Amino acid sequence: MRKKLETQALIGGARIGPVLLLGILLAVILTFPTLGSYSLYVFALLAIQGIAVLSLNLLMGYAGQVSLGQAAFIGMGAYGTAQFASWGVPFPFTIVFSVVTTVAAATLVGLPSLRIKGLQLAATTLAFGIMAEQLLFARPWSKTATVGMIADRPEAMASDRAFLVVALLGLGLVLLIDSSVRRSRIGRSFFAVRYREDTAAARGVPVGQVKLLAYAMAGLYAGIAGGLFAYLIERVSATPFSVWKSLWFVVVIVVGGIGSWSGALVAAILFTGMTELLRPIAAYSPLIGAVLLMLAPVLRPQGLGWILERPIRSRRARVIEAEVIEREPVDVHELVTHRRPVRFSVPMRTLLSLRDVELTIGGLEILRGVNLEIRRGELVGLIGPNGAGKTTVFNCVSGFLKPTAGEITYRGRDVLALPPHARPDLGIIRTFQQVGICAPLTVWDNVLLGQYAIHPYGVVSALVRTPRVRRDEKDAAKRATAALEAVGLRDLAGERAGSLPHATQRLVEVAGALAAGPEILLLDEPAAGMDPEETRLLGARLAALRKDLDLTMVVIEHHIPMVADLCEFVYVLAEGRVMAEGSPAEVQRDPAVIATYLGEERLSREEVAVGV
Amino acid sequence: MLDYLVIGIFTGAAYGLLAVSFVLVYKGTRIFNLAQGEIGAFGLYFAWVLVESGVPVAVAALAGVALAALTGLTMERLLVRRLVDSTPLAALAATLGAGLTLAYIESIVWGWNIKTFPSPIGTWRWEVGSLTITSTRVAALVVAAIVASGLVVFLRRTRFGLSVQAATSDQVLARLSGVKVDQVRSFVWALGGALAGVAAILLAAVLTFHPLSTTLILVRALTAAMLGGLTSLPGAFVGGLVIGVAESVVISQTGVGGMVDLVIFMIMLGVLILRPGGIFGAQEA
Repeated sequence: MRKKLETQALIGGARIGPVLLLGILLAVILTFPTLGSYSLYVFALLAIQGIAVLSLNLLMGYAGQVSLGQAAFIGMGAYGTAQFASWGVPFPFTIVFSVVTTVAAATLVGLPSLRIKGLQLAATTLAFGIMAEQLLFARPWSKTATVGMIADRPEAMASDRAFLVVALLGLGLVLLIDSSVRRSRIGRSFFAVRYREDTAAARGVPVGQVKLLAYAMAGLYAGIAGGLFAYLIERVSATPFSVWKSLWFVVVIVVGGIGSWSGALVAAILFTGMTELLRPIAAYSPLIGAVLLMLAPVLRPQGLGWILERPIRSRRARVIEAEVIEREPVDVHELVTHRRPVRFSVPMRTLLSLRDVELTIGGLEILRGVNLEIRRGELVGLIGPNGAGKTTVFNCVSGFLKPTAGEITYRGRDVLALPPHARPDLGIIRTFQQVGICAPLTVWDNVLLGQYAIHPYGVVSALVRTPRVRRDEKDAAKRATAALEAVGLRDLAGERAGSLPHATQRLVEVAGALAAGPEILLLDEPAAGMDPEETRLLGARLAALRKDLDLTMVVIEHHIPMVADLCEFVYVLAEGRVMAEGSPAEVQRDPAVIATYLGEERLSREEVAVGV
Repeated sequence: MLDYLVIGIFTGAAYGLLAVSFVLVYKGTRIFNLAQGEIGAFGLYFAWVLVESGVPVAVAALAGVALAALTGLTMERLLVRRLVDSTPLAALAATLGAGLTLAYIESIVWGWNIKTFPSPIGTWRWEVGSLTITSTRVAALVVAAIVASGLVVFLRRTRFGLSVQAATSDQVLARLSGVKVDQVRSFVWALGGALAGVAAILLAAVLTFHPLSTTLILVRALTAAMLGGLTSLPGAFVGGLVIGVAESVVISQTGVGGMVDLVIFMIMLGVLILRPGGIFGAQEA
């Protein structure tokens, strides 16, 4: 079968686009005094639907968290607004307060995402949607439940025309927020979590917090949409927020192309327009939506976004070309991170030390007392047969696995208590055996992703794009360029990472790791899949980088000549223990090593390591 | 209170059977099939049409179950097979779309109005103290229990059942040992469809049905499946009983339908946050 690739819109994208679009819309509306009340209603409805689908697009398309109950959040925004209005709260604050409650509810529903991944979460959102519809919106405790809640528009926007302006301003606000998010480290962290949680964590992204932030932001958009919707219809009842409406949003997002804001907007307009304007086929519109939802993932996973964002993408590609590929050469020293003052708590050269590290999983002893000393500035090889525990050592050092016994110190400091995402901040950066890149994103975006921990600006700064954020983003671009230059991939900056050959994908990951500001770089089989010439070149580049950036490196490698060439010290791991250590020459002479490792190496050089 | 506890077990058994069918498909093909309820409902509608035109209830029910199996099989052949390369998210969307498609077709052909299905074992009632047990309830419990235990016996004791188990636990290894994995996948979907059909018909006899009602019921079945950790067939069945009892007790104590949905949501959150591996029977079926 033909393999269909899911492509992802570039994270960046036009900021001017939405503003222009809305400007034109506003101009049209204000200059056509003949627009009837119904047309004005439909336009306002479209604007509000737009905000609503952007809410699901952020949660599902950016952060990869499926929600089958999004209409419930919008309903909370609407009911909240009506409730606050009934308590005498004046207009803008009704929406503001109800947005706050909606954000809280959305965050609450997102809580299980801290514990579990994947599709079970989708089921909880569906259950939440049904609960909200049957209980929160049905309001069995209220006498007025059947007639709904009143939300009269304030004087200033009592006319349909005035209200439409307010609705469009709301959509404009959300579009601006959305664009700021996409162009910041926040948006990049969403995408990283969606595509590769482990890589995200290894680059300093606090995965759990980021997921909750996505839920909260989706709640923000949903609250705004709900508040405006309450004033649009002026009488809030449960029907518009049913679970079927939630599923309709999913249809829109999938048809629009998961993660494509413009595709989602166009799909929403098409569907709403179809229902409102073509009454004869309105009855069939749910069926049409359902069939499209069923077929889109098979026939065109990119959805409408694929067509719509091509122009934006090619423009972005040109921008990347102009700024990254054709700019004057950069200095790799851009990559030296000065934010980390070198403080040794112990007066020795040891940077990383593992003492008697043991790991048992399900009764299986994977590490049985590993002792390693990595000294500052060294390039150390970690070799051993498949299943020896090499990758497990990396997983322990980077925090993905917790040793059952023993200690791991970095610069004399115990790091075992630190979660994976806190370790990059110390300068511990790793790569993965299964290439840790986000395949649908460009090479450029992948390298930018690596820098999450380097520029720690917050969400609010990202949303308003403070001068500091702009400065940090410029710096990030400079560092990304330098990192790509360092691995020789500058020409490929605009390419989709997943479409590159396997060996090149590994280099993309290495570039991302370099951009993350490592002090110690843990490379898991960087030369896998490379031909001898590429391997030689990679070795030369790593050696040069080590010198230029004062890096310490540990390399897991099966390619013995590369290890012999490159490394000054080698640890040989077998059956969860260090069986030999020393210079490459010493190790290669060790009879035990020859017997167990090199013998097997000759047989299984090409074998894919299944290391735990 | 005790009465409601007993009453809950009857519907709970049918929820459990739907949960079992969901788990079977999930374990067998790693597809989180949101169409599972509607596959069963499609068979149910067919059976209902047959009953309306005078076919005996039991025969109509069997024909409905057969159509549900065929629907599951068709879905696997035409849709699920093409989702191998897709992300889990895209696959989830596709099954949701398939389920909604079936439901909206039902709504166009047979309308949105609420229907009932006659009991497949005749209509009678049974008074035990303060408790009235109707034949539809007995049917739900007895048939669901027999079918579910029959499934477990089939999977554990027969050669073909074992090959299904093999294929669902390690595809590569199973393929190497000569199991025709593609056939097994189709079979799992057909079997899952049949079980869903039985569950849908039993539930339609106890409750009522309309297009999309089975998708709402699927949420209860999903909660049941999660109580069993999504991988345990007996766990899913027991989970169904728990959900049925919880529903019956909550309704009787509060009298508010929405409270059941709140309780279901809380159970789901509780299980996922506190015991993501499930509570009942974490072991294999």
